[in-house]
This record gives sequence, C-alpha cells and structure tokens, in this order.
Amino acid sequence: MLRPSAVITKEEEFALIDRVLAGQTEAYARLVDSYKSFAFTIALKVLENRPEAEEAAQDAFVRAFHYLKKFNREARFSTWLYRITFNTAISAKRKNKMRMDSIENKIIVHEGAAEDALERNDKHVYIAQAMEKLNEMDKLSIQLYYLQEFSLEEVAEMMGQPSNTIKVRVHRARLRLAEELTKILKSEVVNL
Amino acid sequence: MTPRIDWNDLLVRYHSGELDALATARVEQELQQSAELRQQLESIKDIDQFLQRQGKLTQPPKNFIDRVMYGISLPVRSSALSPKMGLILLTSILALTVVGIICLTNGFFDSYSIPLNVYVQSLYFEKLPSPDFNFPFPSKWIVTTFLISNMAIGFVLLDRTILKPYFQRRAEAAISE
Repeated sequence: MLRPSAVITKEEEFALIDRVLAGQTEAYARLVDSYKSFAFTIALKVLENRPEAEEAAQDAFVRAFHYLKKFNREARFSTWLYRITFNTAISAKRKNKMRMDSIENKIIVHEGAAEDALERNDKHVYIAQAMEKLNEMDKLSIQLYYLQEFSLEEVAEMMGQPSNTIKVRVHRARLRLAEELTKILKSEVVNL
Repeated sequence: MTPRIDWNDLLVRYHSGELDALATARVEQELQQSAELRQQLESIKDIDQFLQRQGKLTQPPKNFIDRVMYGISLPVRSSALSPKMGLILLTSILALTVVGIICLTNGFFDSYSIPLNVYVQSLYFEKLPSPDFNFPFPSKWIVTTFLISNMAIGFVLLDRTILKPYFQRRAEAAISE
C-alpha cells in the first residue's frame, strides 16, 4: 500500500491548507481522506478499542482543523496530525482509566487478534501474549515503528520524544519480546 | 572472568543489521554450532514478521470523513459563564462571605431571637400580662450554613468558569503543539 506521503505531496498538502484557511472548508475533506487510515490506526494502537479509536481520531482531525492557523509549515501536515492524534488518544486513554474499562470491547479486540494469529501461526499467539507484558510506551514505540515502517524520527516526532529514546525503546521491546517468547516456548516444551 | 554474552541482544542486533563485520562473522559462526541460538534467531524473525503483519493499516468506518466534517461545522464548546462573569460572581461571593464572617466573629447574630410576644401581645392580649413567647431563632447557625454554602458555590464557580477553561485551553494548546 502506498503511504499518504506518496499519494499527496507536500505542495498539495499546503495548497489544501491554504484553501481551508481561505474559508473553503470542504478542502479539508481531502486531507481527512488522505490521512484517515493512519490517524485511525495510531489511535487504535493506543486505545485498543475501536469505538474509542474512532472518536479519538475524529477528535484529532477536528482539533487539527481548529488549530490549522497555528501549524507552522516546517514539518509535514501528516507529522503534525499524527502527533495530535497520538496526544488525543493518550489523553482519552487517561480519561478512560478513570472509568471502568469496557470489557466487552477489549474481549473483541483480543479474541480477534488471537484468532487471527492462530490462523497464521501458533507462535504468533505467544508473541501477542508477550506483547501484553511490555511497558506501555515501549509497546507503542515498537507498534508505531512497524506501522507501515515509520522511521524512528517519525515515531519520535509523533510521540514527542527524542529519536534516541525511541531507538532504545524499540530495541528494548524487541529484546523483551524475544526473551518472553523463549521463556514461553521453553515452558511449553516442559508441559509437553 | 569474561563478561557473559547476552545472545538475545546480539541476535536482535544481528537480525536488524546493526552489528559490524567482525561481530556478524562471530555470530554466524556461533549460529552454525548452536541449535539453541538458531532457534532463538528464528523466534526473533517470527517476532519481526508478527510486528510487520500487525503494522498494517486499519480502515476507519465509511462515514468517517462525514463525521469529521460534521464535527468541524459545530461551534467550539465553551463554558456557559465567561471567565469575566465568573470572576465578578466570585468576588461578590467572597465579599459577602467576608462580611458574614466579620459579623459572626463580632457576635452580631449571637443574641438574635424572634420576639413573637410583641406581635401576639399587641393584637390579642393587650391587657393580659406579657407571656414569654420569645422563640429562640438559631440565626447564628443559619448564617454559618449560608456562609458554608456560599463558599461551596464559590469553589464550584472558580472551578467551572476559571480553572477548568484555563487548564482545558492549556491542554488543547499542548496537544496541537
């Protein structure tokens, strides 16, 4: 799949932003269309809940629209938008922690992931289990890094952290996953 | 004593191509000799494959764009009371509370009671000896309760019209930075 950066150029992006700022609100729909999948997937990685991710991604687009005047064009609109999406989703996650977690939605996500993995490979079920043991930020770092192969710099920009920190997080997460998987596989062998 | 080699770390680096030529050659040599290390490397490859599969984009619902466009058409939510109005109300409440506390501490409400006897006497019992109908009205407690409720209302006002909008604006600004 082509990344949005290949679908919409920086110049096109800025031209659309100019039109939106000039009052042509409908031009914003083109920007939403280009980045909706990325924004939604980022929110989904953070929230692990589809309805909440939908709400967070929508909220992020609405916020970006209201703050469009403040967008300095040094970076790509997409980078700025993904950061807003990430922050909105993290903020929603914090708010949701105050409430009871929606058990129903969580079960759907996990069941889906487990079934998916079972179809492909039993080992993937164990990796999914090992993923759950990761520190939240390490898990997000590695998930975003692998999301259509974002660069470390892009993930760092999105998460508002130095790229060296993200590099350490991604490496630590890989290492921890490998260790956990080795442990799980060894215990499986013992059980057999 | 030679330091213990963290093979997991080395294998992860090997798989990511982060090792130099010398270290790579050493790892490859060890891999040829150890079945356990080969299995560990397989696990690392599986993890990489798993993460790549997980890295696929998820599509939002079909009406996503419409919902965003509807969202931007809505007016930005704001507090029912403006911070200015909140500040005026809060100042009035504070002034009233201070006056109340001063009166209370000076014993202004200590001796108050409703003189029922005056009213009753003048209408019906003019020629009878004055009965003691003084009803002890608990004005001190009523004023104290009034002051406490005033302070509670003041706190709610401070939160809703000044603090909450302020922190909300700060959070919004931080999110869009």
